Amino acid sequence: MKRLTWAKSRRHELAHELGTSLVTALDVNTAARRLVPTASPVRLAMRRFLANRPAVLGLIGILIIAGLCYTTLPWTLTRYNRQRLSAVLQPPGTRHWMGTDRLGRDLLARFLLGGAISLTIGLISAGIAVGIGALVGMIAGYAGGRTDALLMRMVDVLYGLPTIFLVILLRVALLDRLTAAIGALGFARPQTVAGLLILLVGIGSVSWLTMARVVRSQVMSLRDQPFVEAARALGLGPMRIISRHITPNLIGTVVVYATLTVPGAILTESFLSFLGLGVQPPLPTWGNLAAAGVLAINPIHIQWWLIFWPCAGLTIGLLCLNFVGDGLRDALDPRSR
Amino acid sequence: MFKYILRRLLLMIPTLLGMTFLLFAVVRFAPGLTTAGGQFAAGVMKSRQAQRRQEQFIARRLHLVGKNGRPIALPMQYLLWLRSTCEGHFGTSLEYNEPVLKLIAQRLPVTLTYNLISLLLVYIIAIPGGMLAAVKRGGWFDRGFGIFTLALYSLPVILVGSLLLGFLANPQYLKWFPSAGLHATNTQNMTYFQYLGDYLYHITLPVACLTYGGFAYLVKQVRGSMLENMRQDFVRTARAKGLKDSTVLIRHVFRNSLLPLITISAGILPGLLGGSVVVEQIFSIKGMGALAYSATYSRDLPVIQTIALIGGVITLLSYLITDLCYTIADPRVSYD
Repeated sequence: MKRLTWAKSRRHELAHELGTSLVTALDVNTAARRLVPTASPVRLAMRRFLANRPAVLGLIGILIIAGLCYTTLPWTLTRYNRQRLSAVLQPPGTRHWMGTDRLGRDLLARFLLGGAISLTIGLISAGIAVGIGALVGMIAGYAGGRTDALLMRMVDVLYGLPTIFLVILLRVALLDRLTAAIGALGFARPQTVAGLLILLVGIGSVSWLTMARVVRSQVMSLRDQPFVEAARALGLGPMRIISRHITPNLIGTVVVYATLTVPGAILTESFLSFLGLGVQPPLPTWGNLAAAGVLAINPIHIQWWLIFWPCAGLTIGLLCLNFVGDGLRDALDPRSR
Repeated sequence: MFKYILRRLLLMIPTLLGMTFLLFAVVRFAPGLTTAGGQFAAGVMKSRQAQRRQEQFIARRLHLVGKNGRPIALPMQYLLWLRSTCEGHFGTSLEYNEPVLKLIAQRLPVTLTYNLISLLLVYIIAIPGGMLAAVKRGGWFDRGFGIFTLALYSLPVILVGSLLLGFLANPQYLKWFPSAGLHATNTQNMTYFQYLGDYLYHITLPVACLTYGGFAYLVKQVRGSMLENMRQDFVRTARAKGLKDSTVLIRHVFRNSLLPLITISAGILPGLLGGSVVVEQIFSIKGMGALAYSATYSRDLPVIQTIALIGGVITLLSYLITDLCYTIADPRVSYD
């Protein structure tokens, strides 16, 4: 019985290596023949990803959620802060599909706009992770020596300080000055804009660290591979080696860790919102809507819709993103295969 | 080995210097340093003169101005602060008016204890889970457990914590657990075991909150390294020798799979410290997280700096210790 499982697992492995989980031991041959002309790494990875059902469902889910949140922006932006004091704390109904909050604002509009803001925060920090993290990792890994030591000490410094403390400190230090500066520039809500900026800088300043480390170690191992040596022997300069020979091998890793940064940033924002340090109302995010709902848990009347919708959005959104990231990691990252 | 430890400790110095510099820069940017702390809270009446004297006193204590009342230049402020920190003087809290070190000595054990319990739980559940998933690769347990742990990881702590508090520690629903604090009020006349029982009863919900999200990553790592080791030649040799499957799995595969876990444990501890800010806020626990949170709101500069610095030192030390454990556990790795 045991032996059978081992044999089975070996077969699965074989099938896995061939990029499909459906082949049995018998048709490995046919599969291999079919595979030969099409076995580009990207296609193999795509096939591995598509075979991963939770990941595909996650991708579909997050595309639907993001689509809904972003396409309704013109409607939600005019509605999210409109108060109707005659319709305070109404349960979900025909007029307000998700109910209203204690100021009579339509929860659906706030939910959708909150989703858009949360996802944008996640996307921006993923952008920072790619822009700064991958670049620093590449330079440190390829240059080695002093440059590497200096850059990695920088990463260590930021790594050592807990994320939440860093964001809190930045906020305490910069909020008032930045508010004044932005107010002088003539923006409408200087404090909100300043808070948003600080939040992004804070979350962004820690989101690139993992990326830098992973990319660095990857580049270090790539640097000593024969094909890079060959390129160097041909007389190619470092810029060309990096852009032509190393970067294509990094894309998988970068995509994986960028995807995993998005839910991380959304989660951090929800923590900070709970502590009153995240995006400030009246702007909604899933995080601060959930935090407000959670604080409204009340032994006498539970306004369940205030808790349920934002938390459902947050949980389902994070779930989808994590499944997608995890599926991508399985499909692309050579180390976790 | 000794040389290696020494070199690593020396390498920590520039990192620590970088941290102190960053902390100093960020904190000095904060406005209203000298008007921080409880003395200036709303409702505290003070004459303007007394207030100014207080501000001057604090400014002197923070090395913003010298003994003669002249302002000190920024680089000099940094050096003065660095010197007193190196000498072990972390200053006096502006809010509690007590030495920062004393405050942290009260709070750190609280947070560390329940964090370590949670860490232990994560490992106790994740390691066998990951092993089983690897052995039954592709089976229903493997897939189900992977999805389940990832789903747990996706649940936000603020939601789970508040729901646990709202439904399991609420006289309206189920009053199974206490809603706040770490001890009952009458601890002084309890026996040791009663005290322990009371403590465990109080930390159940906070520890559950800290633990549930930690499985996903660890399970994945255990499973991955188990699978990698199963493919190695020494496993084939062991099986060819005629050893039982269970022996091969536990003595050959599992023992080698533990190695990467050592490295991972370094990253978990600092993360837990950060996460405890939220948990302590939800369950009203007086630990490091709560201290850091209240300190930022009252702009209690010495406390903020010291906590962040201690967090950094703990992180660096845990990296060093895990690297050392790695050399001890894996004879193939040597750093000499």
